Amino acid sequence: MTEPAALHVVVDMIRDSLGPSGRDGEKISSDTLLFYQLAFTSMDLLDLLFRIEQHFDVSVPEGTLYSLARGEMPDGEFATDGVLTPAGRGRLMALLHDTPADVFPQRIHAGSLPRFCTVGAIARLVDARLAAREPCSS
Amino acid sequence: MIPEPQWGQRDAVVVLTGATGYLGRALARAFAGAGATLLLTARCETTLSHVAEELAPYGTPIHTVAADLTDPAAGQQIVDAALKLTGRIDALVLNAGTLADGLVAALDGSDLARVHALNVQGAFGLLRAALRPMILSRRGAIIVVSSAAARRPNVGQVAYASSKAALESIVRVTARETAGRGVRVNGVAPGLLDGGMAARILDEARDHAAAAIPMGRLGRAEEVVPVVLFLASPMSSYVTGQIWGIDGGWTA
Repeated sequence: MTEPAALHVVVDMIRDSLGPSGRDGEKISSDTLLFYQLAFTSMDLLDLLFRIEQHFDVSVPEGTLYSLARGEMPDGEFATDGVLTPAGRGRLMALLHDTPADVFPQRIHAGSLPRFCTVGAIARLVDARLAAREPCSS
Repeated sequence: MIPEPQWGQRDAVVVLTGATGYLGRALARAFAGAGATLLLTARCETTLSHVAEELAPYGTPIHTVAADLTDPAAGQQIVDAALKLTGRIDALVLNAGTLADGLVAALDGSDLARVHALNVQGAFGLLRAALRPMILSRRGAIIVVSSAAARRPNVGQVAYASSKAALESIVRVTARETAGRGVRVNGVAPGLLDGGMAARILDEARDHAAAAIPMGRLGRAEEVVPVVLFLASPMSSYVTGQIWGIDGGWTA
């Protein structure tokens, strides 16, 4: 599978985000899990998103991952009462295809989706945001 | 030998709200005197211009942005202006505030909302907007002006005291969240000062108010200023999440 274009920059940014806690020496590759292997915190994630937005001049608003996973699926079919439906869980697992299946619990709270991201998933998200802002070619 | 204070403000960029009030003017003079580049905000553009003129002799760059912090967009606008004018924010001093007196059983809910809109929501909006550049640069000091009323409120102060108590919680939570990112967040809690918002009650009850303070007198803005300068300076590099009482012993 083709490596996301933003991968190397994102890896450097993750090292920056982990720097304050002295965890920037960790081995980081595309399939490394942010929260489960790098022990990311919500503050580390926010720090990373700030860096991505600044460097790439793109906006990654809260809920971006939710929107990407849901796609065209009606909201009520994707999640109910803040928990992903089985179909919604399947959509998320398809989007985060490089995250091992056993990482996903049966009940996934809609606000916890970034917890299941690999480094590669973040880089793909950046690629998607960059593609979305490209002007249409005539 | 005790070293001279190193305020560390030479060429630092300081954003100060409530810059036209009694304490705000004193803070502006002190930071300008310490060499800081200032971005002053308040609602009234004309009064801001006067304050900027007063500070001209210090020779440091003084910028002004007239803004009403109760406007949800104001915080981001101030930060955007600061970054455009100076490229960074080293310290943010959240000093703007208002009050509404009234007994709990009689206070109009709209008065409570008005005080919280500025003292809590307005301060929060600017603090939140300033955090992004501070987190990205791994440095910054935020100083919130609270009040002794947060810890020891008087009768009739529910709106003001509760807003300041909320601010102090914001200080502590933000400090914990950003401590690992090089951003320090602290507060000062002045007692009754001999000027500003308290002036109108002091005309009626000055002696009575002073007698209730262990030091037997009211405070002055100049007695709050050094603590704020300290909290903005590298001298307080290991201090975060703290509220510094400056009240003549009122909350002791």
